[in-house]
Amino acid sequence: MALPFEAPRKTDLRERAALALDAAGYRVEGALSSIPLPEELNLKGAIVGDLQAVDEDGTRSVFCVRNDWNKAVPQWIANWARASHHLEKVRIYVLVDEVSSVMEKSCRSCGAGLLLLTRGDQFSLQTIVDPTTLTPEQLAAEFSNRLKEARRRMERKLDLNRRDIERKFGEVKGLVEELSNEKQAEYMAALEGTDKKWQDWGARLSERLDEASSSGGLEELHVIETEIDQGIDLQGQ
Amino acid sequence: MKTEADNLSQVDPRAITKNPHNPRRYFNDEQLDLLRTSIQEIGILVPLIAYESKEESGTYVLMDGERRWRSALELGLRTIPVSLIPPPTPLENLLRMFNIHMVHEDWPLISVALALRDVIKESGEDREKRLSEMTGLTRSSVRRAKRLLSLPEYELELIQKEAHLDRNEQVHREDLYLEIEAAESVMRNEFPEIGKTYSRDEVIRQFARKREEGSLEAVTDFRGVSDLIKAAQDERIKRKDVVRTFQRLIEDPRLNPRDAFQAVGASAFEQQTLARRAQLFVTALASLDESEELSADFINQLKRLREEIDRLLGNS
Repeated sequence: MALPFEAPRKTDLRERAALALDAAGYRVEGALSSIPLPEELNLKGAIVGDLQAVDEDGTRSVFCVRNDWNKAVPQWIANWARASHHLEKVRIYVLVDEVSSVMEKSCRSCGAGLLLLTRGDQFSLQTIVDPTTLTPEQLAAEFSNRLKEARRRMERKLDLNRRDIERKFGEVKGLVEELSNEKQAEYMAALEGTDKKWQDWGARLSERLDEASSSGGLEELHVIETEIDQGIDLQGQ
Repeated sequence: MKTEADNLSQVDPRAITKNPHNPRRYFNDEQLDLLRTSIQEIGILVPLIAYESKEESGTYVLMDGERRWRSALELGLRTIPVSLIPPPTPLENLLRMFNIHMVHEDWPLISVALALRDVIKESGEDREKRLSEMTGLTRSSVRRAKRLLSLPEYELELIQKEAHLDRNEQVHREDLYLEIEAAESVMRNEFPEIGKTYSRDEVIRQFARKREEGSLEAVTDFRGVSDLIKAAQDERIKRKDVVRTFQRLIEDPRLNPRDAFQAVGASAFEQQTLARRAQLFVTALASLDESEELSADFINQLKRLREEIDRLLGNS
């Protein structure tokens, strides 16, 4: 049943997902249960999801239907996924109708399963990520690896760009000798300004990587990774 | 006097119902994700506002806090903080909703228009100034909302269905329909013979089809209609040709209003524009003193102008 103010696209995807789950042999429940969260995680509420199914041995699968398949799993679902690995017989799945590497990577990092809704003659499901293959230790290692890789990429980018600026400083005499004194000073100031921006960028991202490391924030890590790819804004923002 | 803070309660979110006067709105997942994470990790810090339902004991009608309420249901929260207020009259309910949401500035124009329709119905008040005072909307917002409300119900439904989408995903946008409404209105006023063949609803639907079929480059293409009407004041353009062009514009969803204007009125429109500029230039020249020395560059330009004028007048 659609929640109040639910976007029609979400309602449509949930209905298709229910058909596909049924066709795949899941026993889709009519009403959603609230699964208590482990107290030690200090999270409010319970695990609910958009659809639930219970299999013969009592394992409850919770399905979160998402239209924005090209983004990372949001933090609140990632929190549920992490929590499910502290609980017995609870699994969290993200269900999408298109798949992206961003979504897949983030599901693996937080321990959520990922199902792809496909449409042939009827709706069916393809498992992209199986949550039963991910242990809490593996999740922690996966997250830690991503953090390390992000930090390496950030430092490499910073190093490359600052070396380039250093090279320009070294060549500055030849580059600016035909310019007026005023223009020369402007050029030098611009180079120094760009260098400072890179330094600040590196310091800021380093701090945020440290914070992400202690908070385990998947969504924040994804934002940091995007900012590393983008580098600094040379237009001055 | 009791304030809302004095009536703070912890309420089961499942006991809350939508306000009947809240226009139908949708929230995308993306719009709510940050809020959901915040509520899950920290909780709801700002209480919702609701009143106890007269119809159903133990249930509450929401005044403010749709997003927080929706997030609380999804997150399985057992109780949420709610400030309870006395049940308002229907009109008080509507006006209070306006006050709350105008502060947030989070209603799209279609939602404002539909809520305004309810205010007009409840209060019997239709005057722009008075509606502005009652709701806190600017008079120009009231005017725009009323223009939107004048559209056929079918078109309003289309706008509302897409209101939650990102602007670049919307086909049936409010600004599109405001342009269509303006174009239809000026066409009907200046060419009443069009109204004898095509109803207003029909024209609006046909104009909307141009957007649906990708015939428009921009929603402002409909300004080609008013440009054509201005051009039609030129004595060289026959009224029946303009009427025929409007008929084609209505009947063919692939015909862009700018193209229609180009085909019939572009030359006349350009000459009207030049005539206005010429008038300003003549006035400026007339104000120059004959004894004033003219620069060589200015004299050259005047000579060039005289050559062009002789060339054009030689052809007339």
